[in-house]
This record gives sequence, structure tokens and C-alpha cells, in this order.
Amino acid sequence: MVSGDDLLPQEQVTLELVRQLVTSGNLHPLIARLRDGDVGPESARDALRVLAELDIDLLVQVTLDSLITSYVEDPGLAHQPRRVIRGEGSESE
Amino acid sequence: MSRASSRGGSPVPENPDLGAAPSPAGVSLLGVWPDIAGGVTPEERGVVERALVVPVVRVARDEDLTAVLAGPSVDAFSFVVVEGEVLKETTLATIPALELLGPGDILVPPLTASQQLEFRAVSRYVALTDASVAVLGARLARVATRWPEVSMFLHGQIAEQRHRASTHLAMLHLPRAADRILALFVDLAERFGRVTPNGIVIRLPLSHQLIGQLTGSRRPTTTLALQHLDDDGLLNRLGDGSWRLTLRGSAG
Repeated sequence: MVSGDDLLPQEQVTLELVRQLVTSGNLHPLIARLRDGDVGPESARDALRVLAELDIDLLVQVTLDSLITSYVEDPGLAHQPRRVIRGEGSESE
Repeated sequence: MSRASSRGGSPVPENPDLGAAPSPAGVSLLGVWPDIAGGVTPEERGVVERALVVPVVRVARDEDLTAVLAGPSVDAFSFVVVEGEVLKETTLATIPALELLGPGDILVPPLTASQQLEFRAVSRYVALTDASVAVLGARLARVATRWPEVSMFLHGQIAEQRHRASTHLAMLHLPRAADRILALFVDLAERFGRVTPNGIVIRLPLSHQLIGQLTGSRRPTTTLALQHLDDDGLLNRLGDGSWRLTLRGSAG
């Protein structure tokens, strides 16, 4: 019987993936998971949902960083969204 | 001049016609709301205090109160928690949201079948712990009519409870799960907490799942956020299942 505290095996997998996302600050753990057979996409979806509930600003930050790194010629632009999202400076700086 | 004479000159009878006396299992509302008769004159206070004894119903932990609230009295217009804690579960599109109610909080009777058709969300009450609930019926309505101070007090209680619900709603808008949980426990600490040298201890049987339903988070999210709060020394669970809030944690 599952109590109100015990996580299901799938939830534990999701939790570990979110931990890796938070620790690394990038989407690499998620991308690795996506390559893991049939359950990869569903597992990645669960992890993104949990990260959105846990810290939506962090999700936005790691996603923007990843998009800029992959698709923008000047990766230095990644500093801008990171600074604004974290509230560490104003846009005029 | 007594209050009675100022309302038309008729003296206050010793046994006003306030309806049937409560059952032997009655409880005084003064025990729940010590200030309910605060505005009543000393001359009338004895009569009012006797009139504020109302029937009480006891419920066991995890018991659904729907049948209990529908059953005890046909003239019940409301109920109040006397002891223990009760969860109000409101389900919208299969997603349940919880509100935690304790002594002094008012419960409303279940919606009728026709009323349920008017609302998309349906609520029910479930006992979080063993609890007792007082029945507010026609007898109290007559007391409130005769002594407006009592009516005003009840309105004040409802307003306070409504404000707390609004605060809970605002808490749900916080973007980080850990912040939502922290806001929840600050509220619970004020209402149910006991101050100790090591923090405020909240003796409520709250599982991760319940905390998630109180804060709009899935269980894995709740577990992760609670681990972060524990790591920061802000909130941790004690061996007996209670929770300890320490706002001077490492983040402070």
C-alpha cells in the first residue's frame, strides 16, 4: 500500500531526473533521458512538469540557455536572460 | 438601563423561547469562541451563555463528514469545528484542492442536488484527525436575532475565515513550490503551532501528498521541495510525524 509519502518507482525516476536538472542547470540530463528508449519522452515530460511546479524560473532559464547555446551564434547572449530571470541586474546594465 | 429595556421595555426572561434544549451531548460555543458573548450586557450574559449550548457530533479520523453534516439536525444552517482538524476538499475537473480547518472554523452543509448542478466544483469535508463539530441551528439563529452582538461576532468569524482563504489563494500564486510550502507552514504555525526552543512544532498528520494538495503541487514536486527546505534548515519532519518550522535557518 502506498502512503501519502511513498513515491512510486516512476515518480522516483522523475525525482532523480529533476535533481540532475537542478544540479546541472542545463538540459543535458533530459536529453540523455530522451534517448533512453520508449519511456524516455514520457519520463522527460514528467520531469519538466515537476520542474515547472518546483521552480518555473529555473525551467525558463535552463531552456533559454539551451536554446541559445544550440541555435544562436553568440552564446554570450545567454547572460542576458539569466541575469533578468534571476533578478540579479536590470536591463539597463 | 439594561439592554432589554432599551429595546422596547420588555424585561429579559430567564428562559427565553429559544427553541428546544440541546441534547445531552451539547457543547458551549463559549468554549470555541470565548468572545461570542463579549458584547452582551452583564445582565443578559447568563441567559445568553445558557442559550449558547448546542449539539455536538464526533467524527473519527479519515471520516467523510458529508453524511454527518446532513444528518444531525434538519434546521442546521452551519457547523463549527470544536476540536481536531478537518480538510475541505474541493474537486474541479478531477483535481482536488484542500483547505485545512480547525477549531472555530465554520463548515457549511453539503450542497443539495440542485445546487450541485450550479457549481463546477464540488466540496466535501474529511476529518484529518479525530474531531468534534458543533451544530449551529435554529436555536442559535434565534439567539443571534435577539442579541445582534452574537450575529456580528459570527459575521466577523466568517470574514476572518474568508480572508484566510484569500491568503491561501494568494499563496498558490507563488511560482516556487518551496515558497508555497513555506507560506503554508507559516500559516499553520500561527494557527496550530507550539513554540519550542528549536522552532515552532506543528502536530498535524500531514503527508507529502496532502501538503501537495494544499499547495497545488504533485507529490514528487512536494517531496523535492520539502528536501530543499530541510537542507536549508527551514522545515523538517520530526520522528513522531509532526513538522518543525525554523525560520532562522541557513537561508536567513
